Amino acid sequence: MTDHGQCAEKTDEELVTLTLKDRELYACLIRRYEAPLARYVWRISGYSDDDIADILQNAFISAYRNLNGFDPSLKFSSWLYRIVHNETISQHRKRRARPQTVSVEENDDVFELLASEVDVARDADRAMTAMRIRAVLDAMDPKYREVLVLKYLEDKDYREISDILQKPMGTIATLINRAKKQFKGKVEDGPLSTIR
Amino acid sequence: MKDFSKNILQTIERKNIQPLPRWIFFAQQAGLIGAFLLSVLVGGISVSVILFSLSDAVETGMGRMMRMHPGPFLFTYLPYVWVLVMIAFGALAYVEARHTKAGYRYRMATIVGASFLASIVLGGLLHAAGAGRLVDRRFAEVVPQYRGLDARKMHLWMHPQEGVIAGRIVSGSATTTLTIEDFTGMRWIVETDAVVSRGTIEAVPGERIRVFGSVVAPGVFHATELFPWTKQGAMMIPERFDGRGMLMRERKMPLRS
Repeated sequence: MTDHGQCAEKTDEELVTLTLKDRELYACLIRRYEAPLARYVWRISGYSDDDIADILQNAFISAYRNLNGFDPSLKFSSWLYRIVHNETISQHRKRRARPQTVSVEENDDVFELLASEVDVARDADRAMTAMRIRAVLDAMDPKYREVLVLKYLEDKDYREISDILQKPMGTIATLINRAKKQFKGKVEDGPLSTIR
Repeated sequence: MKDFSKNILQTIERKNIQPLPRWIFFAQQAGLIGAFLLSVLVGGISVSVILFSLSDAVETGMGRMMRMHPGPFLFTYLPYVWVLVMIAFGALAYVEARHTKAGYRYRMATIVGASFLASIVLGGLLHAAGAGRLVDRRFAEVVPQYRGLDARKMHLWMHPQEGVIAGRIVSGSATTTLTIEDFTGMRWIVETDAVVSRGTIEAVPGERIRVFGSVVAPGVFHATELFPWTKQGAMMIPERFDGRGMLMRERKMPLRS
């Protein structure tokens, strides 16, 4: 196996080139992205660890198979997030009938940041619990939830979100505006019990 | 997920998964771009036939014809089949462009607008070169279900009592009288001494013309305006027909009056 030192000094794009010559180096990219991607999948789907591992395994294998199709004009992370996003959507369609449970393991700071960015009015509201914000996110339309997650929780810029979701940047800006309105509306609508 | 990367690499090895060769992605993109360009080309051809049909209508007393037979006029001169083809291939061009590597970066309106604009510009050039007319005629020859502009126009221009007839010149002069045979096979003596507009009529046997005027006696038509059957564009070869109705390319000498 590869050692961590060998990976750390290489960029994603260099590792892609090297992986095409030596498969073992793919481990560097997997280790670099497995945690953020797992968190991302959880944020947009609320799936269990096992389900997330399945999604990531399929996504990493798909990425490996399509490595020659990686477009260097994109960030590698955007390309990988796109594959993971598509795999999550695909799994979501297959499992739609199965009820989802909301598990809260997120750091409160991240959710407070979202509440603050979306400007959910009064200071008192900003002290919403992570559980409540998570529940609000889960109650949102998926297309709005995913842009909020990418923008405020994954800290992606418009270009990256456009590349991940494969939508024009203007559309992303519109989606984010509408998502913020929907988020705010659901927060102000009432108690957590009415959200879900 | 401690051994996550190890598990994935083992799966890749066990299933002998290899990165797909670069040429597959290249071919996929080239195919999409080629299909997009082909759609724009088909759109351009459609536009050229539409322009051919509309320009033919404009040249030949459109206002009068529209007042006389508005429904049949639109049905005759608006080539709805080609309008549908243009819309269908415009939509196809959008789908193809959207699936290219960078296609998602552009709004639907931008892609659709650009492909239609390209088709319109291309169609204008093709029409100027006479392609619209050739395509319309060729389709009428090889596709039995297709009714070209010629076939559609015949009904519209066969209303002698309402002041319009059309047919092939048999003999005569554009300044005195012409004998023409209409599309039902009936012969007409057309008085042309009072014609105020002759368009680009050369009055040679076999030439097809349209005539505005009035019936003055059975089989006698008093003409006020003459038009060629099909608009003759600057770059088009004037149509000529031999005695069997076959299209000829060479010019014949005009008849003496």
